[in-house]
Amino acid sequence: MTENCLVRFSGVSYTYPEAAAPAIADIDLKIASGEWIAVLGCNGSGKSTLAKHLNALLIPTQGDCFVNEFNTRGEDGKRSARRAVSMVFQNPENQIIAAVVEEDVAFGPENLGLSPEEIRARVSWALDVSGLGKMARKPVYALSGGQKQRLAVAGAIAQKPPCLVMDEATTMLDPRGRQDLMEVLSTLHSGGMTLVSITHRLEEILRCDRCIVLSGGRISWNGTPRELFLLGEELAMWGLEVPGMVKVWRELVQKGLLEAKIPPLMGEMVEALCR
Amino acid sequence: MSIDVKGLVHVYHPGTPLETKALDGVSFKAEKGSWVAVVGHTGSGKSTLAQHLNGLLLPTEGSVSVDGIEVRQGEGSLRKVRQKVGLVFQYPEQQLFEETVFKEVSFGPRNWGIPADTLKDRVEEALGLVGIGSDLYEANPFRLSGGQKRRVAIASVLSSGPDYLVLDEPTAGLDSPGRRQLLDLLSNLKALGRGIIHITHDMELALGLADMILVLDEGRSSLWGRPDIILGELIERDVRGLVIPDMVRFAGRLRDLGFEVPLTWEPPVLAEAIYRSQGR
Amino acid sequence: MRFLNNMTLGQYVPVESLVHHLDPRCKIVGVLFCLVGVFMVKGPLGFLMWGLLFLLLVSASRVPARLVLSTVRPVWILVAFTAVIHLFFTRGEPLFSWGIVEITREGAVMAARMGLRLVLLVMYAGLLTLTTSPTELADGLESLFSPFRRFGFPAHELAMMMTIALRFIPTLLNETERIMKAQIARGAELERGGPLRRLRAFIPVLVPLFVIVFQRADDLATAMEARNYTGGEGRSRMHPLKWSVRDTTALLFSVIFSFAAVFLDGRALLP
Repeated sequence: MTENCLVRFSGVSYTYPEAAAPAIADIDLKIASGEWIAVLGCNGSGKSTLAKHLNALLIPTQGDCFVNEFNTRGEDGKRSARRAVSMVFQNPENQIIAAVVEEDVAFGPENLGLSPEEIRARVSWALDVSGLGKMARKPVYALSGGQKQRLAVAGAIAQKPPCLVMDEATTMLDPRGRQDLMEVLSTLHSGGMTLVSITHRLEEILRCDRCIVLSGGRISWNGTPRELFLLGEELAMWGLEVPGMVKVWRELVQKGLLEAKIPPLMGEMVEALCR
Repeated sequence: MSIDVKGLVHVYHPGTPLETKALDGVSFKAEKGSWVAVVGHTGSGKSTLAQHLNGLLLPTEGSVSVDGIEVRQGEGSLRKVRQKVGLVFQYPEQQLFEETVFKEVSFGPRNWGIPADTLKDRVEEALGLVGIGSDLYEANPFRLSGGQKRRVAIASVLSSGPDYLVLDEPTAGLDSPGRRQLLDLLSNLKALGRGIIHITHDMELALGLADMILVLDEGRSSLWGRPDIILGELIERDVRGLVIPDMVRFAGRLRDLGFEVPLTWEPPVLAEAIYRSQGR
Repeated sequence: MRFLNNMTLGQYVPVESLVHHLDPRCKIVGVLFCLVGVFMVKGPLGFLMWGLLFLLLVSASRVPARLVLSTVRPVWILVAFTAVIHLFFTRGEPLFSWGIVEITREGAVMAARMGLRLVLLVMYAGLLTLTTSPTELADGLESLFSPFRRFGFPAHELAMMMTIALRFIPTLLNETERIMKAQIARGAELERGGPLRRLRAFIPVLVPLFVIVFQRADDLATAMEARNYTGGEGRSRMHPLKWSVRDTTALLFSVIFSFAAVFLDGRALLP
């Protein structure tokens, strides 16, 4: 066991009450501290079910899930998981509790029973990181969809968790909202936070360190984003679609014009082509 | 046969402190049998525009007409227009309410007073178009999968027999297989002679599928034209209120650097051009 | 644009002012006294006093006057209806008659009195919600009701429910509008026929709305759990309620003013 292992799944299966088949089955997974990992798969592949195990919203029906080496099955483990892992969900509307921006961000730290000074410090830090520093006293209804989702991120990180899970958190955003959110995630990642992105949009995994693909509730594949992009038929089978830019990158790599170690990002590709 | 929008202005809450201009002089034309994409950010006025096309909202200034019928209060204009123009809202599956798929899809035609003997054909045709088989006719719509629910919701609009279909972000929340299936359905409807007005924030999608593109920015039309013309504009200059697709920005950068890259949104074509340009 | 669509009348306006900074408990109890006072005055002097105090409070609150006025809009019909009922159906000395319609002096007085009362009530209550965020309001109520907790009164739970309800009212209004439009686009006629037919016509709106509300409630519960919410126990506050001299002064003032208004108003009406 490596020391910096934050989350460990050991043979985890979960079957929803009254469901015939398990939503996820035999999942073995380790997430290292500081890693940015993407969990990919189409609808019904079990990726959101997996995500809910990370902070003990669901407890495995078989196998065990450890966060910071605490089994989430016990009360201690559950509490530890809730504190170590924060989550942001799909619809920002459904996770904002208060009517004023800073009051909502304070909700998590207030639940932890922190002192008013500590809460205020965390709220202002979380708002700054999320790019909402100037909106602390704004009413929530005055925010755009993208800003609301960044507010949800601020609310999640105000609990200062080592790990943040984004459960299809970009689905309802427009391109500008997505871009802004990705910026925030990059900042958090470079600050050392462990990130788990649950998504079916390959555009969003360009900066991830590692990705796993779920299909039918099982892990079908595990590797780096660039290795994933170079796969052929399998992607379609898993219901994943490669973005246009990555398609160009793939063709150029296959034609021998680009080295596969160059990431499919515009700046890097232009630079490599000009050399 | 077309939807004609001329100088459309829409002001919300006129004469109150909450007065806002959501649309400011928008003009375009959507022909039957063609695919028009309306592209813009949240708040650009896209959804307000969509609701004018079937008379849910009426113009403050300017005009909207459907096959020559002007959209306005009175003389049954609204009912005629609403029957001609089907409007599919964002997340249309949220409007489902009936006990069975069949009843759900017959809600529209029954409201329009379609006689019982043709009703069944209408419903079956609509469900056939969206790829829902007869085994699901008696199913509870709430128990279907996400993609199926959405297709039933679209069938429930198609069953009224509209000549035009306005869809607000129809692929939102679908995974790639669901998305592909839906876009194929729309292409199919277009081939059958329906007019498609596709409201979206995804420029890449619009470039690949639409016959004409309207770009909205803060209630104004900032671009209107064929995809190749729009693509040229996007490469040449910054268009306000748009996130330019990565591939287009990439092609633009390479052109600036002296690569001979054509205006294209087909990845293989772009890659091939780069390859040839680099070889020389 | 979204901002305006989502804005419901009477929602919290976050600006800095003396009124905003008062302790929510002071504001809640103070407004209660004012409401009782408004209900007890009958004559022009009383209404004049309450009107002037209101103007003073609005200017101290720095909330734009148009927003304060707009709180009356949703109840406008009710006010007009009440006034009209009293105008036509109060017996007394006839002022004016036309056919069977008769307007009496007493009727005119009652109409004016009830109309003014309702308008003032709504505006005073509106000023409370305009200057107090739902969270503060909930904290205030929770604290006021906490003495009853020992009898099993769920003070925290009720306060939390209120916060959430206030937060979701605008969202649900938007959802309702969207679903109504979607069904109208499918040819539904929501506003024709008798009451029974109308009720039936609303089923296509109500069923989806219930589904959405349950979905939201479920999502929200999950999100709250994920944010370590386990009930009121062990919770702290970013802004703990702090009662200051200012609050005592303001509360005393509102109590004294209420008594004064009722007393002076009564005296002015004596023959």
